[in-house]
Amino acid sequence: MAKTGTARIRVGSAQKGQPTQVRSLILHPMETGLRKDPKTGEKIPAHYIQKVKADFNGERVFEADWSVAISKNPYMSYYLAPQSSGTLKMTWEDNQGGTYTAEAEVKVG
Amino acid sequence: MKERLSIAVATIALLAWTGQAGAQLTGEEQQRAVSEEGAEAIGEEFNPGELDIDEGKALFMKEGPNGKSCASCHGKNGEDLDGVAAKYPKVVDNVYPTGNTSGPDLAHKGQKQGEELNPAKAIKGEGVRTLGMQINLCRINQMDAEPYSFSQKHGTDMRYMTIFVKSLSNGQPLDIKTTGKAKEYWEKGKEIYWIKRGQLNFSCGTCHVQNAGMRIRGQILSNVRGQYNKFPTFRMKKQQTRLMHTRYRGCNRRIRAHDLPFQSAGYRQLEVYHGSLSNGLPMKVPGHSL
Amino acid sequence: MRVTNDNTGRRSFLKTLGATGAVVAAAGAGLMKPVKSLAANFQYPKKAFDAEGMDAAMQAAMGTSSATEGNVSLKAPTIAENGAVVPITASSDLDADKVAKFHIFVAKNPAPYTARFHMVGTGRPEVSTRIKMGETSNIVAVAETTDGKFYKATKEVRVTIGGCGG
Repeated sequence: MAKTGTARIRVGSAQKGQPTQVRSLILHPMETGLRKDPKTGEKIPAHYIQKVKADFNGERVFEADWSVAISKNPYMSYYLAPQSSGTLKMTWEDNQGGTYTAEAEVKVG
Repeated sequence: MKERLSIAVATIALLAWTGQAGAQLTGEEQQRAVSEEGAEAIGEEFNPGELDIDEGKALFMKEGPNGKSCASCHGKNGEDLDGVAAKYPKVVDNVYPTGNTSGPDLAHKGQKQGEELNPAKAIKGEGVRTLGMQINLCRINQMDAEPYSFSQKHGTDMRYMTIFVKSLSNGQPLDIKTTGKAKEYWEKGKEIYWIKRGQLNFSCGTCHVQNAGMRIRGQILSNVRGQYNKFPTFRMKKQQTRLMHTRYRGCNRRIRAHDLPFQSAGYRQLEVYHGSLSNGLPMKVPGHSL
Repeated sequence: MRVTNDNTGRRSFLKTLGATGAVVAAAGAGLMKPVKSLAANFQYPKKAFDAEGMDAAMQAAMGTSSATEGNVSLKAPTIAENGAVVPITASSDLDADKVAKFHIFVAKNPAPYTARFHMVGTGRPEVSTRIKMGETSNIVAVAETTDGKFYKATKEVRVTIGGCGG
């Protein structure tokens, strides 16, 4: 698959002030740290996204804290009720210092 | 009144069969519908396999040693290939003219996983040409480039490219030719589909036609119609897109029968028959499965 | 910072002391006046995510292990053929500006606390994700309101072994 950190955001059509669904997906192993490498028998170190932030036109609209129990290549959807058109920016931060971002333009009809 | 009732019953039965009428089912059927719903939710909400389309697109634009890329001939974004993948596999006079007749018949890249037809070696005469073969032919003959591996493990680029090219036909009805030259190979594929084999003595049809919709342990057996048009598909369990021949090999191993190499004649013929059973359905690549 | 979404109303601004329970209790007692949300950055609840056992996890996450049944819906498949990817949707029929957070727990997972969602300014209290389940278990979704109340919904999801898909 494509590399870790590749992320996509999809926003439904938006009407002013009306909630519209935002769907996000990021490629990430979400390793729990409990799994053993079948070849070496060593524990694979934990590598998982902990914090997700969503900002619309620079303001926080949604935030999430994830444990290792969120599935690999995590999907998350939430709602946005934009008062005007703008940019939705999401940031994912993992426990190994990785930071990934993605943006989507939201046009308010 | 009687006619309307029987239409209603038939409709519910049909919807139950396709697992869509969750609200009208009861008990066991409801459970089946719900778990399929879960899988559908995953596929519809956001199929991670779609990211492979972008990977394939990047490869499509990458120039080969002679400066040409796929895009040089087929359109900047592959526009000229709209509808092309829907017709594969096809039966042609000269299956795989790579211009290279030497080299081992099977490229063994280690154990069962890597077994595949040698992607550099020509296959002469009439036979079934798959999309993967066509991609390699273009690479060898038009781009002076190395052919991609056909295997699941080593052929990541082939997989991305196949997904991209097939996605260009998404929405178009699958249209595999089964008449004329193709009939003979369709018949061979049909034989492969229906012959019982392996320790469990199953044929493809045993599960996917005769027992489609039933459970095998925790999973529901998919109906044959609707399978081919979504391959390569994203497998949730593997969190990776999987090729059609990967699945053919996997199915054979599950019933404890011998599997064949990637791009073997047997699987190519099987593709003609198996694929044709989904003719008319819209392509939807990559699909999603458990 | 101006809040773009008029529907968010007031939000309790949780100071980053990790004392979630104390802060919520204080808000409930009227000691903390809710303020308009700023750039949030809620502290990652590491201890809560490590807590073992449902009661301990809920205590660590919310300051209490009890929540009222109702006002929350949890959508999840009854049977999950793949425990590694179980789609869930948590939603509430309470007003959007009253729902501050959703907490998700998987009772039989070694560390049940799975995720926390801060509904800072979303306009609709509904969130979906996919979670890992080690075995058949109850999933519990808890909605935390701005005035410190907890409402929950529970659903059992059966995790089966694979069939012929391998």
